[in-house]
Amino acid sequence: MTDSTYWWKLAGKAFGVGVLLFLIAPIIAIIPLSFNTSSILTYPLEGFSLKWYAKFFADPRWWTAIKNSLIVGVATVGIATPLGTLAALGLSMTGFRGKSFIIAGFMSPMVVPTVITAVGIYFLFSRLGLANSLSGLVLAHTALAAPFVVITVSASLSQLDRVLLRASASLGAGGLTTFWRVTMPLIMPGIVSGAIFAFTTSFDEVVVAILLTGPEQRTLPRELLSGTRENLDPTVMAVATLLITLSVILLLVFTALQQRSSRLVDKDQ
Amino acid sequence: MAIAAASPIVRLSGVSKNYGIYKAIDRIDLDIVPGEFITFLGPSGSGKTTTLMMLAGFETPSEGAIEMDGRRIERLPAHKRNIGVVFQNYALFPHMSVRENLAFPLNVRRVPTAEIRSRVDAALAMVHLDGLAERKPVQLSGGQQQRVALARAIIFKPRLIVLDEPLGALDKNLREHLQAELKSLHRDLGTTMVFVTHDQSEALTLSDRVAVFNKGRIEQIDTPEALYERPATPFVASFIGENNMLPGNIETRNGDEVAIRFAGGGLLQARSQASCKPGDEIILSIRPENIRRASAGAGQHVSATIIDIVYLGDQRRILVEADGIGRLVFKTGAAGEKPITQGERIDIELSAGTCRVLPKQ
Ligand SMILES: Nc1ncnc2c1ncn2[C@@H]1O[C@H](COP(=O)(O)OP(=O)(O)O)[C@@H](O)[C@H]1O
Ligand SMILES: [Mg+2]
Repeated sequence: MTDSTYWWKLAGKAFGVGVLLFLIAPIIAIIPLSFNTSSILTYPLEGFSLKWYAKFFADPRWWTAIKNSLIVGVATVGIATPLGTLAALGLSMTGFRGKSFIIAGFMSPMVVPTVITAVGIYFLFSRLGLANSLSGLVLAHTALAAPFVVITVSASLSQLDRVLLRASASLGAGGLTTFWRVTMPLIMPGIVSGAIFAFTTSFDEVVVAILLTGPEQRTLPRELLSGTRENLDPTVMAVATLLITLSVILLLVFTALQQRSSRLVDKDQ
Repeated sequence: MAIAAASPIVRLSGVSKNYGIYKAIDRIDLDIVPGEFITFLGPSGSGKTTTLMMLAGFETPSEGAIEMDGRRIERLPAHKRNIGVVFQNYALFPHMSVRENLAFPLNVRRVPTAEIRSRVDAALAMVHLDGLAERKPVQLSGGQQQRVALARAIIFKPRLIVLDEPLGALDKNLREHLQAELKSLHRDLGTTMVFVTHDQSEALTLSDRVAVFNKGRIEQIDTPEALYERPATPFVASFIGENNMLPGNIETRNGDEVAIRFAGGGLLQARSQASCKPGDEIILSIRPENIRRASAGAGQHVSATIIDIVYLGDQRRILVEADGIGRLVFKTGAAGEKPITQGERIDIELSAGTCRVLPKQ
């Protein structure tokens, strides 16, 4: 009996490790290739070199792409975060008419395939003269990113003890003071998580970017994609490695925030 | 305390609160006198919290008026009422230190920084928490958190302090300790306090007056002594202390002397100030401590059979079946009295002056 449980446990662990490998192997495989001396993307590696990184840093095309991506990403965060936070606050209020409609509307960009959203945005923005402009891309990314902010902030709000808001009012604080001094600090982990998600949503986004940007507004994912299609060389791998590093850092920040917020919540035990 | 003389700080007139078709509060009238410690006592769900929340401004009455210092406040938002609230689960801001929690109401009122500092220190000293100012609420015990909550509610010198079962979550020893502190705090500050509890002994110990809540109504408002000795309704009689409740009918009335006939055929004499006439169905209430084993001669004697005896250490609790009247509980001292056994026949004494006639509800 104990013997078979042992084997089942081992099998479970092995399966878990297998799934994990399946998920991260492609990502890990890229990293060594970016340091390879050979320009052909194959294993085994021929030798260690940083020349692809040098090539990347020397190429103005990449710099423009990075600059565009950062501008769009930061602007998206700047708009989607307050917008999503306010929406979550409104939605956290007890039932009002049409609440589920509004939720569905907000969440639709997450559910509808991006291509469809992208095509819709493309037709609309062409008419409005927003196609081929960074501001158009920012608006489109905001629509895609805001639902993530709504979700993370709503999660924080559901953890928020409403009695604290009453306590604040009883101490003489009006609605705005209560928001700045009580609500906001307590849902900050949710807001920051939402901002991180909003940034990565924009920073990764390629479908809308392809439809909505001209040569001037090429973003990093778009440049990466054309890089792999046209002249596949390890520079692309170097860029990918840098992006992975950035993602890992953001993920760590996110995890740290989650832990901090759960520490504040576990109060009266 | 001259309760009747002072004009009320808060007056509730005909206040009701409906949730849908459910009447959580049903036409309450209540005057709160400046400086008093008044307690809302009642079972869970009787409407104590709802009434307190209407006072504090977190619920709006469906009907009726709430006045504070003569001004209508039932539509005034909570943050403009200047009422300190102590919540059951403390409701301290978890992201602020103790000092920041206490400074919060003063910051909101734009008190100068230096003054805030000294007032926070004074408030902390008052609740015996000196030295814990820089801690976060998570780093405090339940009792300490409740003290901070109390300090935060008094630091801005509110017109009134309301406390919703503030000691409910604490263990017995700590609760008694904090009761004493609360009482002395009330004496020192002189601020009017409205306290909510479902614990009758807590209500009796702390309060100048107690309002007994039942099913959304106030059954009686009185001093602890009056509530205990002169309950006005069967609910109050049974909720506060132990009481024998015997349903019967008025047989004759002569001044305030009444004779009561019970279903079993027995007859008892009692006194009644309440308006009742022969034929009325009533409840007779007798405290266990007002029943004794009969000594020869004087008083109203009834024969009874002993059903059960419970040993309580310093006392014995005796359950008897009184002939023609019903079951009664009384207590005897454990030592120095004639030993009694189950099944034994005894005589008990029920003096007419301690039997109270209550209207049947
Ligand atoms: N927001 C609400 N919606 C519906 N019913 C409520 C609400 N708040 C309180 N009640 C009901 O009103 C009654 C009184 O509640 P409450 O004032 O909390 O009682 P207490 O504090 O005496 O235990 C209860 O029956 C409760 O279920
Ligand atoms: Mg309650």
